[in-house]
Amino acid sequence: MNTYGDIRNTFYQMFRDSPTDQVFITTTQADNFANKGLRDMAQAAWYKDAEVDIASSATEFSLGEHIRCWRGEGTVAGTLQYMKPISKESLIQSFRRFETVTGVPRHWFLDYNRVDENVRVGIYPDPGTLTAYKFYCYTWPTPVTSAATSFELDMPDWAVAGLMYYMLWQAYLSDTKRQDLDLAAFYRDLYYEVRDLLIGASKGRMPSYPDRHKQLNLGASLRARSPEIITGTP
Amino acid sequence: MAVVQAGALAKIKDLLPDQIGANRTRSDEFVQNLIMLAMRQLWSMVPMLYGEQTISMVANQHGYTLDSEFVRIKRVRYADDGSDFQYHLAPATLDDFDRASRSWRTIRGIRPDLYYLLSTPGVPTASIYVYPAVASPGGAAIKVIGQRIGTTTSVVNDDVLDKFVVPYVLSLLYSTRDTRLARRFMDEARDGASELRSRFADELPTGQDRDFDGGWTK
Repeated sequence: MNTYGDIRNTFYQMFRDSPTDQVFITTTQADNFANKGLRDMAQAAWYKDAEVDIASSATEFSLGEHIRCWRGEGTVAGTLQYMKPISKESLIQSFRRFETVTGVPRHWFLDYNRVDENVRVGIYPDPGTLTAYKFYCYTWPTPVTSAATSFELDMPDWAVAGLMYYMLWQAYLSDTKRQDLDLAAFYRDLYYEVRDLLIGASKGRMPSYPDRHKQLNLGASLRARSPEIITGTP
Repeated sequence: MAVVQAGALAKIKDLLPDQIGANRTRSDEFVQNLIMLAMRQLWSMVPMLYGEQTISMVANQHGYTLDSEFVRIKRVRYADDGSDFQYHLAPATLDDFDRASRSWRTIRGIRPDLYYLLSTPGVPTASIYVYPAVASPGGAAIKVIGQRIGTTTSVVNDDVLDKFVVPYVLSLLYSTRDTRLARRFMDEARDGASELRSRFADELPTGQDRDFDGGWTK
Protein backbone atom coordinates (compact mmCIF):
# COMPACT_ATOMS: atom_id res chain seq x y z
CA MET A 1 0.00 0.00 0.00
CA ASN A 2 2.44 2.64 -1.11
CA THR A 3 0.74 4.36 -4.03
CA TYR A 4 -1.13 7.62 -3.67
CA GLY A 5 -4.28 5.96 -4.96
CA ASP A 6 -4.22 3.41 -2.12
CA ILE A 7 -3.87 6.01 0.61
CA ARG A 8 -6.39 8.36 -1.01
CA ASN A 9 -9.00 5.59 -1.25
CA THR A 10 -8.47 4.61 2.38
CA PHE A 11 -8.76 8.27 3.39
CA TYR A 12 -12.07 8.58 1.57
CA GLN A 13 -13.40 5.37 3.14
CA MET A 14 -12.37 6.60 6.61
CA PHE A 15 -14.16 9.90 5.89
CA ARG A 16 -17.19 8.00 4.55
CA ASP A 17 -16.99 9.65 1.17
CA SER A 18 -15.59 8.48 -2.17
CA PRO A 19 -13.36 9.92 -4.89
CA THR A 20 -16.13 9.38 -7.42
CA ASP A 21 -18.99 10.94 -5.40
CA GLN A 22 -16.88 13.69 -3.72
CA VAL A 23 -19.85 14.67 -1.54
CA PHE A 24 -17.83 16.51 1.14
CA ILE A 25 -14.22 16.56 -0.07
CA THR A 26 -13.23 16.90 -3.70
CA THR A 27 -10.20 15.09 -5.08
CA THR A 28 -8.49 18.44 -5.52
CA GLN A 29 -8.94 19.15 -1.82
CA ALA A 30 -7.68 15.65 -0.99
CA ASP A 31 -4.61 16.25 -3.16
CA ASN A 32 -3.97 19.57 -1.42
CA PHE A 33 -4.27 17.95 2.01
CA ALA A 34 -1.86 15.19 0.97
CA ASN A 35 0.71 17.61 -0.42
CA LYS A 36 0.51 19.77 2.71
CA GLY A 37 1.10 16.66 4.80
CA LEU A 38 4.05 15.54 2.68
CA ARG A 39 5.67 18.95 2.96
CA ASP A 40 5.06 19.16 6.70
CA MET A 41 6.72 15.78 7.28
CA ALA A 42 9.63 16.63 4.99
CA GLN A 43 10.18 19.96 6.72
CA ALA A 44 10.12 18.38 10.17
CA ALA A 45 12.11 15.21 9.46
CA TRP A 46 14.44 16.20 6.59
CA TYR A 47 14.04 12.65 5.38
CA LYS A 48 14.83 13.15 1.72
CA ASP A 49 18.23 14.21 0.41
CA ALA A 50 18.88 15.50 -3.08
CA GLU A 51 22.14 15.72 -5.01
CA VAL A 52 22.10 18.85 -7.15
CA ASP A 53 24.65 18.86 -9.96
CA ILE A 54 25.11 22.26 -11.51
CA ALA A 55 27.62 23.91 -13.80
CA SER A 56 27.91 27.68 -13.76
CA SER A 57 30.32 30.47 -14.59
CA ALA A 58 28.50 32.79 -12.17
CA THR A 59 29.47 33.13 -8.51
CA GLU A 60 25.86 33.15 -7.28
CA PHE A 61 23.15 30.88 -8.62
CA SER A 62 19.95 29.10 -7.73
CA LEU A 63 19.75 25.42 -6.77
CA GLY A 64 16.01 25.16 -7.15
CA GLU A 65 13.32 24.62 -4.54
CA HIS A 66 14.74 22.74 -1.56
CA ILE A 67 14.39 22.95 2.20
CA ARG A 68 18.02 23.67 2.95
CA CYS A 69 21.47 22.99 1.60
CA TRP A 70 23.93 21.12 3.82
CA ARG A 71 27.01 20.37 1.72
CA GLY A 72 28.79 21.78 -1.31
CA GLU A 73 31.56 20.47 -3.55
CA GLY A 74 33.38 22.33 -6.33
CA THR A 75 35.68 21.19 -9.09
CA VAL A 76 39.37 21.45 -8.22
CA ALA A 77 41.96 20.00 -10.61
CA GLY A 78 39.28 18.08 -12.43
CA THR A 79 37.65 16.47 -9.41
CA LEU A 80 34.85 17.50 -7.07
CA GLN A 81 36.18 18.48 -3.64
CA TYR A 82 34.58 19.67 -0.42
CA MET A 83 33.87 23.40 -0.12
CA LYS A 84 33.65 24.81 3.38
CA PRO A 85 30.43 26.69 4.23
CA ILE A 86 30.94 30.29 5.20
CA SER A 87 28.72 33.29 5.83
CA LYS A 88 28.53 36.17 3.43
CA GLU A 89 28.93 38.55 6.37
CA SER A 90 32.30 37.09 7.36
CA LEU A 91 33.49 37.40 3.75
CA ILE A 92 32.43 41.06 3.69
CA GLN A 93 34.16 41.66 7.01
CA SER A 94 37.43 40.12 5.87
CA PHE A 95 37.44 41.83 2.47
CA ARG A 96 34.64 44.14 1.31
CA ARG A 97 35.45 43.51 -2.36
CA PHE A 98 35.57 39.73 -1.91
CA GLU A 99 33.68 39.27 -5.18
CA THR A 100 36.78 40.43 -7.09
CA VAL A 101 38.97 37.65 -5.69
CA THR A 102 39.60 34.81 -8.14
CA GLY A 103 40.88 31.31 -7.50
CA VAL A 104 39.96 27.72 -6.77
CA PRO A 105 36.42 27.43 -5.27
CA ARG A 106 36.98 26.52 -1.61
CA HIS A 107 33.95 28.10 0.09
CA TRP A 108 30.23 28.41 -0.47
CA PHE A 109 27.61 30.51 1.25
CA LEU A 110 23.85 30.82 1.35
CA ASP A 111 22.58 33.97 -0.26
CA TYR A 112 19.77 35.30 1.93
CA ASN A 113 18.72 37.90 -0.62
CA ARG A 114 16.21 35.47 -2.01
CA VAL A 115 13.42 36.72 -4.23
CA ASP A 116 11.59 33.38 -4.59
CA GLU A 117 11.35 29.92 -3.06
CA ASN A 118 14.63 28.73 -4.56
CA VAL A 119 17.79 28.15 -2.53
CA ARG A 120 20.53 30.51 -3.75
CA VAL A 121 24.18 29.86 -3.05
CA GLY A 122 27.37 31.77 -3.69
CA ILE A 123 30.90 30.59 -4.35
CA TYR A 124 34.18 32.06 -3.08
CA PRO A 125 36.55 32.77 -4.62
CA ASP A 126 35.40 33.24 -8.19
CA PRO A 127 36.79 30.42 -10.38
CA GLY A 128 36.44 32.72 -13.40
CA THR A 129 35.31 29.94 -15.70
CA LEU A 130 32.46 27.46 -16.17
CA THR A 131 32.79 25.12 -13.18
CA ALA A 132 30.90 22.01 -12.10
CA TYR A 133 29.48 21.88 -8.56
CA LYS A 134 27.57 19.36 -6.52
CA PHE A 135 25.33 20.36 -3.64
CA TYR A 136 23.46 18.18 -1.17
CA CYS A 137 20.10 19.49 0.03
CA TYR A 138 17.21 18.35 2.18
CA THR A 139 14.44 18.51 -0.33
CA TRP A 140 10.68 18.36 -0.78
CA PRO A 141 9.00 15.10 -1.75
CA THR A 142 7.42 14.83 -5.19
CA PRO A 143 3.85 16.19 -4.96
CA VAL A 144 0.88 13.91 -5.63
CA THR A 145 -2.18 14.36 -7.81
CA SER A 146 -5.36 12.42 -8.45
CA ALA A 147 -4.41 12.39 -12.13
CA ALA A 148 -1.66 9.88 -11.26
CA THR A 149 -2.95 7.61 -8.52
CA SER A 150 -0.48 4.81 -9.26
CA PHE A 151 2.37 7.12 -8.27
CA GLU A 152 4.53 5.57 -5.53
CA LEU A 153 4.61 7.94 -2.55
CA ASP A 154 7.93 9.69 -2.06
CA MET A 155 8.25 8.71 1.59
CA PRO A 156 8.94 5.58 3.66
CA ASP A 157 6.13 3.05 3.32
CA TRP A 158 5.85 2.60 7.09
CA ALA A 159 5.06 6.30 7.59
CA VAL A 160 2.23 6.42 5.06
CA ALA A 161 -0.32 6.15 7.89
CA GLY A 162 0.85 9.58 9.00
CA LEU A 163 -0.07 11.04 5.64
CA MET A 164 -3.58 9.60 5.91
CA TYR A 165 -3.94 10.99 9.44
CA TYR A 166 -2.88 14.43 8.24
CA MET A 167 -5.48 14.30 5.47
CA LEU A 168 -8.19 13.20 7.94
CA TRP A 169 -7.17 15.94 10.39
CA GLN A 170 -7.56 18.59 7.68
CA ALA A 171 -10.76 17.05 6.35
CA TYR A 172 -12.49 17.02 9.75
CA LEU A 173 -11.24 20.54 10.40
CA SER A 174 -12.78 21.77 7.14
CA ASP A 175 -16.08 23.60 7.29
CA THR A 176 -18.24 20.82 5.86
CA LYS A 177 -21.27 19.02 7.28
CA ARG A 178 -18.81 16.40 8.51
CA GLN A 179 -16.77 18.89 10.54
CA ASP A 180 -15.78 17.36 13.86
CA LEU A 181 -13.13 19.20 15.84
CA ASP A 182 -12.78 16.41 18.41
CA LEU A 183 -12.07 13.89 15.69
CA ALA A 184 -9.74 16.36 14.00
CA ALA A 185 -7.74 16.58 17.23
CA PHE A 186 -7.64 12.76 17.47
CA TYR A 187 -6.15 12.42 13.98
CA ARG A 188 -3.81 15.35 14.60
CA ASP A 189 -2.34 13.49 17.60
CA LEU A 190 -1.93 10.31 15.54
CA TYR A 191 -0.24 12.30 12.78
CA TYR A 192 2.26 13.86 15.18
CA GLU A 193 3.12 10.41 16.57
CA VAL A 194 4.00 9.08 13.12
CA ARG A 195 5.84 12.30 12.29
CA ASP A 196 7.94 11.89 15.45
CA LEU A 197 8.81 8.33 14.36
CA LEU A 198 9.91 9.71 10.99
CA ILE A 199 12.01 12.40 12.65
CA GLY A 200 13.72 9.75 14.80
CA ALA A 201 14.38 7.47 11.84
CA SER A 202 15.76 10.34 9.78
CA LYS A 203 17.98 11.99 12.38
CA GLY A 204 19.17 8.60 13.69
CA ARG A 205 19.63 6.87 10.36
CA MET A 206 23.36 6.25 10.90
CA PRO A 207 24.15 3.60 13.53
CA SER A 208 26.50 4.99 16.15
CA TYR A 209 28.75 1.95 16.03
CA PRO A 210 28.91 -1.26 14.05
CA ASP A 211 27.33 -4.25 15.75
CA ARG A 212 28.24 -4.02 19.42
CA HIS A 213 31.94 -3.32 18.95
CA LYS A 214 33.54 -0.26 20.42
CA GLN A 215 33.00 2.94 18.55
CA LEU A 216 35.76 3.28 15.98
CA ASN A 217 38.37 5.98 16.49
CA LEU A 218 37.85 7.07 12.95
CA GLY A 219 40.93 9.33 12.90
CA ALA A 220 43.35 6.54 13.70
CA SER A 221 41.39 4.01 11.70
CA LEU A 222 41.40 6.22 8.63
CA ARG A 223 45.16 6.73 8.81
CA ALA A 224 45.67 2.99 9.15
CA ARG A 225 43.34 2.37 6.26
CA SER A 226 45.29 4.23 3.58
CA PRO A 227 43.80 2.63 0.52
CA GLU A 228 45.94 1.23 -2.20
CA ILE A 229 45.87 3.99 -4.76
CA ILE A 230 45.21 2.72 -8.21
CA THR A 231 44.17 6.02 -9.78
CA GLY A 232 43.57 9.54 -8.58
CA THR A 233 45.49 12.27 -6.88
CA PRO A 234 45.48 12.11 -3.06
CA MET B 1 1.64 -17.67 14.97
CA ALA B 2 -0.57 -16.02 12.35
CA VAL B 3 -0.34 -14.53 8.89
CA VAL B 4 -0.52 -10.78 9.40
CA GLN B 5 -3.40 -9.69 7.20
CA ALA B 6 -5.60 -12.78 7.31
CA GLY B 7 -4.98 -13.42 11.01
CA ALA B 8 -5.72 -9.86 12.09
CA LEU B 9 -8.83 -9.71 9.90
CA ALA B 10 -10.22 -12.86 11.52
CA LYS B 11 -9.60 -11.48 15.02
CA ILE B 12 -11.29 -8.16 14.17
CA LYS B 13 -14.27 -9.91 12.61
CA ASP B 14 -14.68 -11.87 15.86
CA LEU B 15 -14.97 -8.56 17.73
CA LEU B 16 -17.23 -6.91 15.14
CA PRO B 17 -19.55 -9.74 14.08
CA ASP B 18 -21.50 -9.26 10.84
CA GLN B 19 -19.99 -5.80 10.26
CA ILE B 20 -17.13 -6.60 7.90
CA GLY B 21 -17.31 -8.26 4.52
CA ALA B 22 -19.33 -8.18 1.32
CA ASN B 23 -22.53 -6.09 1.68
CA ARG B 24 -21.52 -5.08 5.22
CA THR B 25 -20.68 -1.75 6.79
CA ARG B 26 -16.99 -2.14 6.00
CA SER B 27 -15.36 -4.18 3.25
CA ASP B 28 -12.63 -6.75 3.84
CA GLU B 29 -10.29 -4.76 1.63
CA PHE B 30 -10.73 -1.58 3.68
CA VAL B 31 -10.01 -3.33 6.98
CA GLN B 32 -7.05 -5.15 5.41
CA ASN B 33 -5.58 -1.79 4.38
CA LEU B 34 -5.92 -0.51 7.95
CA ILE B 35 -4.26 -3.70 9.22
CA MET B 36 -1.24 -3.12 7.00
CA LEU B 37 -1.03 0.55 8.01
CA ALA B 38 -0.90 -0.60 11.63
CA MET B 39 1.55 -3.41 11.00
CA ARG B 40 3.97 -1.28 8.97
CA GLN B 41 4.02 1.31 11.73
CA LEU B 42 4.71 -1.41 14.28
CA TRP B 43 7.55 -2.88 12.19
CA SER B 44 9.14 0.58 12.21
CA MET B 45 8.79 0.94 16.00
CA VAL B 46 9.77 -2.58 17.09
CA PRO B 47 12.85 -4.34 15.72
CA MET B 48 11.20 -7.70 15.12
CA LEU B 49 11.95 -8.23 11.43
CA TYR B 50 15.32 -8.05 9.70
CA GLY B 51 16.25 -8.32 6.07
CA GLU B 52 19.27 -8.28 3.78
CA GLN B 53 20.07 -6.76 0.44
CA THR B 54 23.03 -7.96 -1.61
CA ILE B 55 24.36 -5.28 -3.96
CA SER B 56 26.91 -6.14 -6.64
CA MET B 57 29.74 -3.65 -6.85
CA VAL B 58 30.07 -1.63 -10.04
CA ALA B 59 33.46 -0.38 -11.18
CA ASN B 60 34.26 3.14 -9.95
CA GLN B 61 30.80 3.66 -8.45
CA HIS B 62 30.16 5.03 -4.95
CA GLY B 63 26.36 5.16 -4.69
CA TYR B 64 23.86 2.28 -4.78
CA THR B 65 20.08 2.35 -4.32
CA LEU B 66 18.65 0.69 -1.21
CA ASP B 67 15.50 -1.43 -1.11
CA SER B 68 12.57 0.58 0.18
CA GLU B 69 11.62 -2.13 2.72
CA PHE B 70 14.38 -1.04 5.09
CA VAL B 71 13.55 0.99 8.19
CA ARG B 72 17.02 1.16 9.75
CA ILE B 73 20.37 -0.13 8.56
CA LYS B 74 22.16 -2.23 11.14
CA ARG B 75 25.39 -3.26 9.44
CA VAL B 76 27.08 -3.48 6.06
CA ARG B 77 29.50 -6.24 5.00
CA TYR B 78 31.66 -6.81 1.95
CA ALA B 79 32.73 -9.91 0.05
CA ASP B 80 35.47 -10.02 -2.60
CA ASP B 81 33.79 -12.99 -4.23
CA GLY B 82 30.19 -11.97 -3.57
CA SER B 83 29.56 -14.85 -1.13
CA ASP B 84 31.95 -14.72 1.86
CA PHE B 85 30.96 -11.47 3.57
CA GLN B 86 33.80 -11.28 6.05
CA TYR B 87 34.72 -7.58 5.80
CA HIS B 88 32.88 -5.01 7.83
CA LEU B 89 32.15 -1.44 6.64
CA ALA B 90 31.99 1.25 9.29
CA PRO B 91 29.29 3.96 9.31
CA ALA B 92 30.74 7.37 8.49
CA THR B 93 29.75 10.76 7.15
CA LEU B 94 30.78 12.49 3.96
CA ASP B 95 32.97 14.70 6.18
CA ASP B 96 34.79 11.51 7.22
CA PHE B 97 35.27 10.67 3.54
CA ASP B 98 36.83 14.14 3.13
CA ARG B 99 39.19 13.46 6.05
CA ALA B 100 40.38 10.31 4.34
CA SER B 101 41.08 12.30 1.18
CA ARG B 102 39.84 15.60 -0.24
CA SER B 103 39.54 13.97 -3.65
CA TRP B 104 37.89 10.81 -2.31
CA ARG B 105 35.73 10.60 -5.41
CA THR B 106 38.77 9.64 -7.52
CA ILE B 107 40.41 7.35 -4.96
CA ARG B 108 40.11 3.62 -5.66
CA GLY B 109 40.84 0.79 -3.24
CA ILE B 110 40.93 -2.95 -2.82
CA ARG B 111 37.64 -2.90 -0.97
CA PRO B 112 35.31 -0.30 0.59
CA ASP B 113 35.81 0.57 4.27
CA LEU B 114 33.18 3.18 5.05
CA TYR B 115 29.56 3.81 4.16
CA TYR B 116 27.09 6.66 4.38
CA LEU B 117 23.32 6.74 3.89
CA LEU B 118 21.68 9.35 1.71
CA SER B 119 17.98 9.90 2.55
CA THR B 120 16.21 7.96 5.28
CA PRO B 121 15.97 4.20 4.56
CA GLY B 122 12.53 3.52 3.18
CA VAL B 123 12.43 6.53 0.87
CA PRO B 124 12.33 5.14 -2.71
CA THR B 125 15.47 7.11 -3.67
CA ALA B 126 17.48 6.24 -0.53
CA SER B 127 20.99 5.12 -1.34
CA ILE B 128 24.20 3.94 0.29
CA TYR B 129 27.55 5.53 -0.49
CA VAL B 130 30.72 3.48 -0.02
CA TYR B 131 34.32 4.63 0.17
CA PRO B 132 36.59 3.92 -1.51
CA ALA B 133 35.05 2.78 -4.76
CA VAL B 134 36.55 -0.31 -6.35
CA ALA B 135 38.11 -0.09 -9.82
CA SER B 136 37.82 -3.79 -10.75
CA PRO B 137 35.20 -5.37 -8.52
CA GLY B 138 34.82 -8.67 -10.37
CA GLY B 139 32.14 -10.53 -8.41
CA ALA B 140 32.47 -8.36 -5.30
CA ALA B 141 29.34 -7.35 -3.44
CA ILE B 142 28.16 -5.67 -0.27
CA LYS B 143 25.42 -7.03 1.95
CA VAL B 144 23.23 -4.48 3.74
CA ILE B 145 21.49 -5.85 6.82
CA GLY B 146 18.79 -3.93 8.61
CA GLN B 147 15.39 -3.70 10.24
CA ARG B 148 12.64 -3.89 7.62
CA ILE B 149 8.90 -3.98 7.13
CA GLY B 150 7.16 -7.17 6.09
CA THR B 151 4.33 -8.01 3.70
CA THR B 152 0.68 -9.01 3.91
CA THR B 153 1.70 -12.67 4.20
CA SER B 154 4.41 -12.23 6.84
CA VAL B 155 3.96 -14.48 9.84
CA VAL B 156 3.96 -12.94 13.33
CA ASN B 157 3.19 -14.04 16.87
CA ASP B 158 -0.47 -13.85 17.82
CA ASP B 159 0.29 -11.45 20.65
CA VAL B 160 1.65 -8.95 18.14
CA LEU B 161 -1.77 -8.84 16.53
CA ASP B 162 -3.67 -8.97 19.83
CA LYS B 163 -1.63 -6.30 21.62
CA PHE B 164 -1.20 -3.77 18.84
CA VAL B 165 -2.87 -4.39 15.49
CA VAL B 166 -6.36 -5.28 16.67
CA PRO B 167 -6.79 -2.35 19.12
CA TYR B 168 -5.17 0.01 16.58
CA VAL B 169 -7.63 -0.96 13.83
CA LEU B 170 -10.59 -0.97 16.23
CA SER B 171 -9.62 2.56 17.24
CA LEU B 172 -9.80 3.71 13.62
CA LEU B 173 -13.07 1.85 12.97
CA TYR B 174 -14.71 3.31 16.10
CA SER B 175 -13.35 6.82 15.53
CA THR B 176 -16.38 8.01 13.56
CA ARG B 177 -18.79 6.60 16.16
CA ASP B 178 -17.19 7.53 19.49
CA THR B 179 -13.95 9.49 19.76
CA ARG B 180 -13.44 8.55 23.43
CA LEU B 181 -13.66 4.86 22.56
CA ALA B 182 -11.23 5.41 19.71
CA ARG B 183 -8.75 7.07 22.06
CA ARG B 184 -9.13 4.23 24.58
CA PHE B 185 -8.33 1.59 21.96
CA MET B 186 -5.39 3.63 20.65
CA ASP B 187 -4.01 3.92 24.20
CA GLU B 188 -4.28 0.13 24.44
CA ALA B 189 -2.33 -0.18 21.17
CA ARG B 190 0.37 2.16 22.50
CA ASP B 191 0.71 0.06 25.67
CA GLY B 192 0.94 -3.03 23.49
CA ALA B 193 3.69 -1.46 21.40
CA SER B 194 5.69 -0.72 24.58
CA GLU B 195 5.39 -4.33 25.71
CA LEU B 196 6.43 -5.65 22.30
CA ARG B 197 9.33 -3.21 22.10
CA SER B 198 10.73 -4.40 25.43
CA ARG B 199 10.42 -8.01 24.27
CA PHE B 200 12.12 -7.60 20.90
CA ALA B 201 14.59 -4.79 21.51
CA ASP B 202 16.96 -6.57 23.91
CA GLU B 203 19.02 -8.79 21.62
CA LEU B 204 21.29 -10.34 24.20
CA PRO B 205 20.01 -12.45 27.09
CA THR B 206 20.48 -10.73 30.42
CA GLY B 207 19.17 -13.46 32.65
CA GLN B 208 20.66 -16.52 34.20
CA ASP B 209 22.58 -17.59 31.09
CA ARG B 210 25.13 -14.86 31.66
CA ASP B 211 25.16 -14.76 35.43
CA PHE B 212 25.28 -18.43 36.31
CA ASP B 213 28.14 -18.79 38.78
CA GLY B 214 29.14 -22.28 37.94
CA GLY B 215 29.13 -21.61 34.28
CA TRP B 216 31.09 -20.48 31.35
CA THR B 217 31.61 -16.81 32.24
CA LYS B 218 34.65 -17.62 34.45
